[in-house]
Amino acid sequence: MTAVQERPRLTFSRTRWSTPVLGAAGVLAFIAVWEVASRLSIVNPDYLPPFSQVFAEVFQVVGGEQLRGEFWEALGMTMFGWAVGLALSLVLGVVLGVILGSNRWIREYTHSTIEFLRPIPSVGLIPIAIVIFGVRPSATIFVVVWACFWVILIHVIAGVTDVDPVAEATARSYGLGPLDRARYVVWPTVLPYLMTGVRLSGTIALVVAITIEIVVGAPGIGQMIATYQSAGNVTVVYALALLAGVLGLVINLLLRTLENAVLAWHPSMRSEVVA
Amino acid sequence: MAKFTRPLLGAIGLIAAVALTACSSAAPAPTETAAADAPVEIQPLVAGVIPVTDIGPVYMAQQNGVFEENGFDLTLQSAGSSSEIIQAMQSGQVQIGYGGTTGVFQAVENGIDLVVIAAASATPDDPENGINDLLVVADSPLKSAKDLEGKKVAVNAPGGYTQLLADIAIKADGGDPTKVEYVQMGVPDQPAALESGAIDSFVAGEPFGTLGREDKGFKTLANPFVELSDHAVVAGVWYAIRSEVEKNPEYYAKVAETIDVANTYALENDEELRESIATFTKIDPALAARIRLGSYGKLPLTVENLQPIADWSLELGYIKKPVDFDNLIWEP
Repeated sequence: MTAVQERPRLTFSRTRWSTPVLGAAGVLAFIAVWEVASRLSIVNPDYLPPFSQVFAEVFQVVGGEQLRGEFWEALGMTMFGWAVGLALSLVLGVVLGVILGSNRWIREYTHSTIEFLRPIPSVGLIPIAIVIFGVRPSATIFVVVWACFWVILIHVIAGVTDVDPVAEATARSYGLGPLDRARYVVWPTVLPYLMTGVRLSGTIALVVAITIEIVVGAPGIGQMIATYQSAGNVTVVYALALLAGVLGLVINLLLRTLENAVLAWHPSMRSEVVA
Repeated sequence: MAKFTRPLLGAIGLIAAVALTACSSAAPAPTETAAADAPVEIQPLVAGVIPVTDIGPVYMAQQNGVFEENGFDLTLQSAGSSSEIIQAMQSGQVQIGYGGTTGVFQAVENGIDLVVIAAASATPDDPENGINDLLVVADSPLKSAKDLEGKKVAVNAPGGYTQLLADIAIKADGGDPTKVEYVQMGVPDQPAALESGAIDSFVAGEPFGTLGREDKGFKTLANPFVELSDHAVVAGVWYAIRSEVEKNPEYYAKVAETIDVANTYALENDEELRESIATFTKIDPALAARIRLGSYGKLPLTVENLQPIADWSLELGYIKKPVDFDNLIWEP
């Protein structure tokens, strides 16, 4: 009885159902608009086939005799570029970020250089990447690393700078060596920043990888999209675009799960659970 | 420590696993040694290509094992444009590249020392059946190419082959090509833009020309090939970097010879060629059976067959100096 009475006090937006329900409503509305616009020829169905048709094509792409092999190989290539690029930028970003962040002089000395290099759009580096690596997955990886490295670097530097001086001094006075201090004081402070950087980079890496594949023709889902587009097969193009979207969602979900697991001890996560 | 490192290790493991899976699926199949009775040494050959119908003959020859018989392990590496192919070539990863003749003339004028080693395609015998005609909507008020002055015309690459063709048609019709507003647009987007009225005409590229004419009722405003020359001309070529060719003339001679074999076979097997094009470009096979194609293997790589495009390119300002064909065409 008490439970029933307490429920109505919560507005809908605060119940735990609000996110999935509103999310689903948004997606359904989007699908409905797409379907109707195409069926009623508000947009030309030759260039935007109805959702139902594209949705059916998704299954053909994923499991149909004709496209299955090509799709999974392309997916493998895209994920290969994504994973290697992300891993490389993670390693580089953490190592350099800790070095740059831990010393005020180095930090101030490199600040302008970082701010100068960081905004260079990764797509602008495509010609350089092709000269160095050719039209190959390594060109994709190079540009992905460029795009993600700065994000991770900035987050790691911010994390290292954010270390509580009192905690640091306390650790010192208790006689902790540099390695122990790095492990018990610096690392726990940096980790939430790092995880945010990784989660952001996960999506950036995917977008950049697929963009390069479309523009350059490096093997992967992007190349498949470009090929079917120039062959005049729009249904496959939209099916692939949908699949790329789903891939982005899955990646984001996995990285968020990872973040929650890694940071379960962190106050920000704990308070979220309590609320 | 273990608390937060374990998921991290897991993540790294996951990434590594994905990477490995991708690796194994991407690993090229081991080069098959030639049949025991033909002890040919297999050499790698990477060709930079654009996924267009002109690659059909070489793709077909690759599938039929022609390149392997001639001692090549051929890889067709797709790129978005000729400039990307040339960049990849300069890095030494690509041995030959495909491109339109205008683009090659321009690259050479810009200081890239290329030589043309073989013909890739030529304009069709029947100019009325030109691939790159200027299309307009069925009820367009435009009557001839001259009417395009002040109108918007879509081309896939500004300053490239298709724009040259449009310029030729307009000039030959007594118009001034500089008064046309050219818009850069990907070929797949051009039919939609024409239908919506965003552009007034576009230079057709297959399969969109055939799709437009058959499904949308687009009509031909002008056919540049009629004005281009009184005979068919070589429109697409295979090129390579001069220093590489001079370093390894026997290799490139053999490459050129194999491409010529591929073109000759394509000339005699139109149906099989169209099936190969469908597989290579992913154009629907039923559509590939109907699209307009250039001619393959009909015209040898001679000055006469290249001259008309060079002359028009010079006249319309696409290049500044006449093309030095004695230098450009490489003969083993």
